[in-house]
Amino acid sequence: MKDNQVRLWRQLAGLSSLGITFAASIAIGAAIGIALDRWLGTSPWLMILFFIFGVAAGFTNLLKDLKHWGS
Amino acid sequence: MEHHPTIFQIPNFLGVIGIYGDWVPEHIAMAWLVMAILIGVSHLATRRLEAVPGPVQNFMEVVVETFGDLLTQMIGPDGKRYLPLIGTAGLFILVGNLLGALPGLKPPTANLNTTAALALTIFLSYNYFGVRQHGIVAYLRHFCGPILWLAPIMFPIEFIGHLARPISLSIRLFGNIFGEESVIAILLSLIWLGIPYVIYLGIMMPLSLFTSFVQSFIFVMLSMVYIAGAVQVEHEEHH
Repeated sequence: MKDNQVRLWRQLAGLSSLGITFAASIAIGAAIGIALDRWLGTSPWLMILFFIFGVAAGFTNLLKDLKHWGS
Repeated sequence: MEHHPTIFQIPNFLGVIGIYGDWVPEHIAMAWLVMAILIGVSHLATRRLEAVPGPVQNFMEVVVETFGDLLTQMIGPDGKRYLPLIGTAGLFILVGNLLGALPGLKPPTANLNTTAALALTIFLSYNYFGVRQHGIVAYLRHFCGPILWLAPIMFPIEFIGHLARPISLSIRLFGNIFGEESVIAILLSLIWLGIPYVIYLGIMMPLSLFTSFVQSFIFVMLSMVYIAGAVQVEHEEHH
């Protein structure tokens, strides 16, 4: 396959995963937080902390992918 | 929705390990069918390797070369090391998706368990490749970002970002194939109306062939992107 064709497909693959990755990051963050809360009995603080981490991870991925593939 | 059994069924012999029912679950039976097809074709292609290849060997050579070229372009000159993993995953998904387009068979990839197994394999593999390439300390340091005092914040963020990858891989493949399969099942259950037959042959059949190729290609492409990201950490940061 030609180089720019590969680039196009790579862009398509990357962009098609933006939405799900964003949602999954938040869900994983919250899930880790809830699990840690249950283990350490600190409800709800770790859930809130890891929820924020999850949102941050979602945005980090989004910005990284857009910078990488959006141009 | 009415349940349509597939044509291909295997009597359940897995009762001893806790799987109930009269038949082996459909997605497992179909996954075995796909494996059998792949093993059979590979055996046919490599049984008598010749300098002037016959049709089967020729076809498989083209397939393998396509994967190899893609890997070289995406990962670098070292890319062909990952051909066994990527090629197997790609061919399994492609053949599974295409089988699903035939009426009476279900794609194994229309079940979240199959796609989750594939995505987990890719996830564990690319992390292993990264550790093998850089050593565990250097690989984990990449997770912490460039600034040292931000590391306690960056590490969980990167960690969650990496965990999101297998989820997005598995859910995208499952969702697309399952949705396509559901539409086909509904159309087939309405087939006495006549018109759905035209829709099935004219629209859904080409569309499902198209999604089969695109979804397996996207899965392979993303796996390569992840492996490339894990293997050439330093290289990525210069961009």
